[in-house]
Amino acid sequence: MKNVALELRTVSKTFGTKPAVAGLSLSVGEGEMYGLIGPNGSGKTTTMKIIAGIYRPTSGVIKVSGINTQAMPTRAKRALGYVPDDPAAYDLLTGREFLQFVGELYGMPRAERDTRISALLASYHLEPVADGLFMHYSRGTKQKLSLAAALLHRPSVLLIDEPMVGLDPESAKITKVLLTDFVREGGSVLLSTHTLSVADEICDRFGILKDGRLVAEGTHAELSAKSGRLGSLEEVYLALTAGL
Amino acid sequence: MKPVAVLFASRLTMLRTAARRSSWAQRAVAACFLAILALLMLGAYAFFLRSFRYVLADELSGPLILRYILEVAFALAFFLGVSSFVTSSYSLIFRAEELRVLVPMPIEPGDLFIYRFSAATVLSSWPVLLIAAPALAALGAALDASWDFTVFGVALAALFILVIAVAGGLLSFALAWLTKPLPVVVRKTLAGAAFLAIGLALVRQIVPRGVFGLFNVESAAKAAETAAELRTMFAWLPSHPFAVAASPSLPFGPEGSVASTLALTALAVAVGLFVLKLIADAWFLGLWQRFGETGFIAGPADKPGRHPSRVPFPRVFRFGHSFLFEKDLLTFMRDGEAVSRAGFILLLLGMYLLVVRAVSFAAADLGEVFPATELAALPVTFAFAAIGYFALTLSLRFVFPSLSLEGRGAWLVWSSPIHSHEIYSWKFFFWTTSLGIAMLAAASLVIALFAFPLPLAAVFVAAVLASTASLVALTLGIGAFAPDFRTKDPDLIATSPTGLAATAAGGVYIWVMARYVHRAASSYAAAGSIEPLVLIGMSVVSLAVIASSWAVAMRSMDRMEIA
Repeated sequence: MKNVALELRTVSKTFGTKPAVAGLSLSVGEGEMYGLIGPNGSGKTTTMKIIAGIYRPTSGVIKVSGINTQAMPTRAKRALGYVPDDPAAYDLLTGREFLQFVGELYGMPRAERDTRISALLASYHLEPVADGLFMHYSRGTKQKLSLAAALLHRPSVLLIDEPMVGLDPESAKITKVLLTDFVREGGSVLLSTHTLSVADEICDRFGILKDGRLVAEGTHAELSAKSGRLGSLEEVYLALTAGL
Repeated sequence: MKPVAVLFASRLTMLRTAARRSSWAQRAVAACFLAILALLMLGAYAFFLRSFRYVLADELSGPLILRYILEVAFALAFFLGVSSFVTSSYSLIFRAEELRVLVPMPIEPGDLFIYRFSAATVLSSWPVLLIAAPALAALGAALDASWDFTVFGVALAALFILVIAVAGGLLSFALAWLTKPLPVVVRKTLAGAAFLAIGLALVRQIVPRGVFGLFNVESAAKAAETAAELRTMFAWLPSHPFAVAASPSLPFGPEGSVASTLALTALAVAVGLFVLKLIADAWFLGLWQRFGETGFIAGPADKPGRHPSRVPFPRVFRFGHSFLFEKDLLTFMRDGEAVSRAGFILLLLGMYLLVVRAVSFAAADLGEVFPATELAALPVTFAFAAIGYFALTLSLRFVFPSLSLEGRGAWLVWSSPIHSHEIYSWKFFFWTTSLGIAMLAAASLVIALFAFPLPLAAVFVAAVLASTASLVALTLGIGAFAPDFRTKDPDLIATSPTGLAATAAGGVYIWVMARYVHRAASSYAAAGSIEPLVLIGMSVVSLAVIASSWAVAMRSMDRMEIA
């Protein structure tokens, strides 16, 4: 087993009396891409937000690169990169200012920050639009800038909620390459998505979430064996979630 | 049914549905705001009634002063109404979000304009409700008019609202057309500067220095002279026919028949509306489309001169986490709507202070009526109360919603390695500095206008700055206690139950501080020195507000979750 980069131990989150995540435990190793899949309302986005520090867990422990996010949130966040499902940001900053602002938030030296911004803008071909206001961008451009922002400070763990929504085919391909390169260099990715074909293509392991609980976990082959069904991830997923 | 009728009908249905489905808390908030409006109207009514009854005791000068007060009230209502219409027309008419859905539908542009024009008309009617209508009602009571005066008064106020709307509509169209190539900020700055200049000129014209001297009339001949002079002062204003029509029974009566004057005014309104519809049919769609364009077109990165804003962020604030300050500053300065709203509120403050000064100078020889200490202390107190009131208004509109407005983009800062206390602290620092500068400018204007002696000026400035910091702490703290991340509309956030609580708490604080300022000014006028207890009281109250708000905010920030 690779070293653990992200670990969730019996994490729960309740809104009022409604449990959104219930006793969730999972771990993502270094250099691993983990796909969190499940139906709408299964708790994927809530899980992402708890790890990112946007929601407080009702109970449980989360460790990022061995750092407890509850005990040392600021240190833990330095190791994280987060892309939300809705890539909204400050409407009245330009794309470039947005990235520079993110660099400041993570305390990057300015020279390194600017070099990295140039490289990320170039990889997504964003340079020509980088000086427009965020509010004027298409959803796809916002998504690409959010991805660039998450990668900017070279995190060790990346959390991505629905990475492909709004992206054109070329950008989707670039994203896949960026993520696989990130993992190849030792980074870890927790990816939440409904696009099972993409997850199947780039993820090493999967966790299936339903009503806030992890109902199945493993590689594509392991999940196939568990469901007793061979075929695409979509077919395996449908077989595993049917009747739950 | 014509499309425009469908639009109005659907708006009514939405309002009915909203009223039916609103919670008790929402209904209570709406009732509180209506009660506040009613109280303000009642306060204005009481002020006018007392003034009218007092001046009418003098048979010769009374009717002249009464007519003068009416003329000033209607002129101010007209100016404020038109300013309000023009200021809000950009967001309500020319960039109305609702039209993104309606423009693709087969509806005449003129109908769309009239639909949005009606919203701007309703929202810019507040000066009539708060100034002109109470003045009319007080006039009826002071003259013991019969019930038909009430009907006449309501009709007169309604017609006055329409005159303001037509003037505002035509002016908005002209400004939109003339300034369409300009960036939003430049456009709004120009409009703000124009209104400030017009406002200053108007106040100088209608409240000239020594105006009360005009009313020292000892004979009928002198009264007629004063009447003629007043006519010259006001005849050029569109509000003049209304002031005249309201008081035809006064001795120096209207020029011509009231009925024909009003009929002509009504005809002018009808023609104005027709002209607006014609203009809108021809140009509204083009202007709406033009204002909807972003002005940014992507192009090659290496094209020279293409990116004037490429100065790296942060431009100025490069120490510690001060870039959070610059982010707030940058996003505020680029928000044309927010800047123009703040400018308009400050314009109103400037106008109010000029009126207080003009009235206090004019009333300087009323030593027989008021004690000398009160004559000295009241203007100081009114000026402070005005600054406090406007600081509270600005705090509610900008500071209170500022954490909520981080909204859908808040994930960025909340998931970053910056402690939430620091996010709050920089916001507090940003708003205290920004509002502090604006209020310091207002305090300096007051000190210059009233020529305060140094000790009183120092206490006045200290009270203004302490109030600004306290109001920022209070409203930001309450905003952190109950944030609303669902909406992007600051007005909606400010009118929530917690917004109402912030208004009440801020109002009580300003009242307490105004009492201290009054005591300071009275003691200085009486004995030439300021009681130390006043300074201690001000400091204790302000520090208590800041410390308690801060404590609540820090606890709230620790528990805050972004939806």
